[in-house]
Amino acid sequence: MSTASDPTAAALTEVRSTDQLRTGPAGPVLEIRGLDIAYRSDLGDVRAVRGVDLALHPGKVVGLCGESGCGKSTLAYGAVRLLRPPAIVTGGSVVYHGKRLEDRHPGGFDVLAASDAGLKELRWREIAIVFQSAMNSLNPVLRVEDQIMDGIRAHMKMGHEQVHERARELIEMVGIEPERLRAYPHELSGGMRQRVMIAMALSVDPEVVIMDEPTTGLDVIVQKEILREVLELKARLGFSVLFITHDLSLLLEVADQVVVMYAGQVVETAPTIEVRTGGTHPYTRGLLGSFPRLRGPRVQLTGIPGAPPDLRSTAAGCPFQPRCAFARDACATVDMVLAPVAGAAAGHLSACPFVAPGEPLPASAIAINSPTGVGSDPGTEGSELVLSGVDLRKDYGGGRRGVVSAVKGVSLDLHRGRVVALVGESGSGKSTIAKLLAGQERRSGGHILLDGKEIEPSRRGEFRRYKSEVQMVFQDPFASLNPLHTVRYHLQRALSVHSVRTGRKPTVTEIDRLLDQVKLNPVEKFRDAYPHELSGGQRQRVSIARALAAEPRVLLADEPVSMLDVSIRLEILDLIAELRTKFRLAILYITHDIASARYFADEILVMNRGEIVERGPAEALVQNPTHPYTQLLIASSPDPDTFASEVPGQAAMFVRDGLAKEVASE
Amino acid sequence: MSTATLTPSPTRAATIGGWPLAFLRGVLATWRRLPLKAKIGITILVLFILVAIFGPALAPYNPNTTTTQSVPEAPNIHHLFGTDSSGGDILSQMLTGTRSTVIVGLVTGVVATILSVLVGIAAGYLGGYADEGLSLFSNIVLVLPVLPLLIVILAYEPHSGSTVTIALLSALGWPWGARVIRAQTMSLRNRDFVLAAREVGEPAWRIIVFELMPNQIGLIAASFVGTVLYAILTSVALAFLGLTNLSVWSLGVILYWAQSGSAVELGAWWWYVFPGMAVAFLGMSLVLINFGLDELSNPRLRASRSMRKLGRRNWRPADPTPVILDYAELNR
Ligand SMILES: Nc1ncnc2c1ncn2[C@@H]1O[C@H](COP(=O)(O)OP(=O)(O)OP(=O)(O)O)[C@@H](O)[C@H]1O
Ligand code: SF4
Ligand SMILES: [Mg+2]
Repeated sequence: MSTASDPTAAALTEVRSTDQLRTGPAGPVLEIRGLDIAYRSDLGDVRAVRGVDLALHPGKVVGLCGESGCGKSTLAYGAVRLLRPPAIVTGGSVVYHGKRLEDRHPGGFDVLAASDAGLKELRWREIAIVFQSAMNSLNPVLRVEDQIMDGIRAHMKMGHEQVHERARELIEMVGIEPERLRAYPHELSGGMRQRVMIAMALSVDPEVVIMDEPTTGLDVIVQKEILREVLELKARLGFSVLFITHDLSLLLEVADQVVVMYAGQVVETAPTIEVRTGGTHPYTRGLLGSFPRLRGPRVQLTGIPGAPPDLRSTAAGCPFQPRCAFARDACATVDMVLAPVAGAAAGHLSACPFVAPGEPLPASAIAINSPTGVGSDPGTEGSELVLSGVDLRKDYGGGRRGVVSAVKGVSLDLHRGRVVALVGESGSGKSTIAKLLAGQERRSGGHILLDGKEIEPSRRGEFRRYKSEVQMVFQDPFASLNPLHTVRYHLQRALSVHSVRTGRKPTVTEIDRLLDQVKLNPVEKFRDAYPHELSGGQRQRVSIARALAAEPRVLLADEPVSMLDVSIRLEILDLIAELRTKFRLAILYITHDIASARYFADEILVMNRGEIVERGPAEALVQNPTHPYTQLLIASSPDPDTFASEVPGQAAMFVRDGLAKEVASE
Repeated sequence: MSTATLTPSPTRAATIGGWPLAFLRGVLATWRRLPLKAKIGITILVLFILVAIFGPALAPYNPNTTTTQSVPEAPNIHHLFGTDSSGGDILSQMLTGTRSTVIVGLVTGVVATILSVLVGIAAGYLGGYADEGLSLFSNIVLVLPVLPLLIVILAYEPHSGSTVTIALLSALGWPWGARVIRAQTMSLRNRDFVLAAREVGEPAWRIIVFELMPNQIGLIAASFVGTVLYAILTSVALAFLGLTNLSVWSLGVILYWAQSGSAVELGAWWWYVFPGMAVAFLGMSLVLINFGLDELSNPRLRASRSMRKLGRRNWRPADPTPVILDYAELNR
């Protein structure tokens, strides 16, 4: 990065000076320069963070995003020296300019040179951290109250009464009634637990809060509420936030400055407004092009083909080259240097010297994703009905604990060549419906009709025949393949179980044909691979190939992309869309993301608490939702287009408030 | 094309001709990955197994030889581990007796583990009434007081041979493993890859044998090692109490004679210390193997305990992230 220092430094100074106009004389509260972090390993050092510059200004939210494994967490934890030893900081500087430390460290607190004790103080009093999946790290056997109070006591000298008072104050601050302090973690919802973690982070009145994926795994409605609270608290208490997420569209609502990382490097950093209007670096544009939108025409998305590089490599040139639509020969030797973008606002830097803002995508890039089935609802006319669920019901439990009705009378029809999306939050009963239709679980009531004839799939004799018609693709590609078997074994078994009906012997030729159908090419490379050797997207392709081996007419896809990286989701959805056209599959697409349902499905069913609350053609339903719950769902979904011209977050939040009351009073 | 059809393909030939080699290479690779504890444990155990096989042939004296002497002889150049009070060579008795102790341990281990796998996987996978019945049964067997029960049973037939001991120990020793395997099966049963195998249409037996069992190898191995340990210790205890065929040498039988021959009162420490230590080493080797298996299946256990050398110093896991700006120093 030494060659980079000049333009970068100039640009950073520029950012600072414009900032001074707004926030007074203060410079950044946390300043990271040229940070290098590596993980020692026997197979060569994993250089997870490479020459990263980042400045966090008081009262601001800096959003850090990028695909899984690009080094976001490593950067954040490394900057406060929280990483465990095989990780090493091998270069750069990190300086903290906290108000409270000003007299003792006039030039700023040098984190990389700090002692153990100094670091402890820094981490407890100055920089608080909400860890990735923190909500699952609460101690299950202690009351929430005790955990918050322990946290306060560990860092502040206070009497018992005061500590108690502070705990109440904190918990109210994050929007939980103080009565819930007596609860154990398992008695709280995921969203509440996350709020408790935020309350604990704020308990020592920090100047900087690092939040690593604070809302990942939460439903959109809860996510929005928590983000609104964080922004309100930030405005009131005046801390700064380093917000880490893989979801760029979320950052567009909460962040002031967006930092996009790829393969351990910052490839673009810009004021949020500039990213909303499209971004500059091809990777940023790829990320933006990966999100299905809720508004505007149902356009074909671009996505990002391929997978991120191995971080052990030290090859020169642009690491994005193999996936970049704009790539040219010069990219192989170009220096990765953040430089101000010509004609853009101050503080907008990009590492790509070739692509200017607004430059249209080369035609070849658009052709990669052919618009298979998008926005072309064939209607139910002339497409025969295959599978219907009529008044499906499922109750769990019974006995002393009482009955929980997960599904309360749901009916749906699946036609050949059509995609029906089932949209709802976690716990709404979506997956249960998939399992009932797949025959994995016995239903408590209702009927399943295959070709108009009633069938009992979970009955012994029927199950295998039923499976040759109706197949399911699972949510988690890391769990749905047996780690001890090769790809070949998985496909071979699926072929041989159904070989009598399909007439296809489990031969290598047939296995290769399946692999080719899901675009795992060259097939030789994948045939004998073990699941752990494959990326998430590749595993999901194997799962789909396995489902296709039976040559089914119905495919039940339960959140097939929610565990995958944003950039890969699109490829998988496009693959499924292509297969549905090719084999005239009837598809049930289950998702929590209504925008992807709009992109992918012909008909949408919205589900809440075990019931379908609204159903209709995809486009019409998204544009004119009539049920308050659907409206709330749409208002809570991050959508870059909604806020293109507005202040971060707030517009959506007001809409949300109005609607939340309606739903609550229902 | 024509040549290819005439001569066997080279890769195939290599796999046929070379499979013992490949197998050996696989074993070696696995050995290298084992934690130190497991390596030590396995080495000791293999030594004992070698003694069990070749020991009787190596014994310098007939273990049953008696001389006219009536006091135990301390270790000397003729009798390295000393003699018992009738002049029998302790070393020879141990070399002969290890076989029966090791056999009781291993055979009980195999039989009891098969039982626990059958019961555990059946209960865990089938669920419902099958599970409740089998679990109730295992719990009943589990709470039976094993040693008193064995003593009562064997007291009827005090000098029965090791077959009876093996049968009884196996019949009483499986529930512990079955419980663990049942729990693991229940958690695996709802894992996606098992549901996916059902989704493919695989029959239950294939799911059990090809999907569930291979994922429990570590647990089954641990349960086997634990059962062997239990069988060895219990059989030694029973023999010590005289509840076995005393004419067949085993480590426990030596201890029985030491006790009935008042070795402690006579100050003949070699009579009980050497066989006692043999039992202790055998037990320790099994405990070490189990710890090793634990570490193998839980790499975090291994990583978090160890220090790491980076640059010039050793780092504890709790240390703040090392800052080593000089790359040359790092690679020194
Ligand atoms: N202990 C470790 N040893 C070796 N490599 C590691 C270690 N921890 C992380 N890595 C590697 O460092 C890279 C960056 O990981 P990091 O956790 O920072 O990614 P991230 O951007 O936070 O991803 P995610 O979105 O999945 O949280 C990854 O390629 C990862 O494989
Ligand atoms: S440098 Fe080349 S490969 Fe890298 S982003 Fe720019 S155009 Fe693409
Ligand atoms: Mg992370």
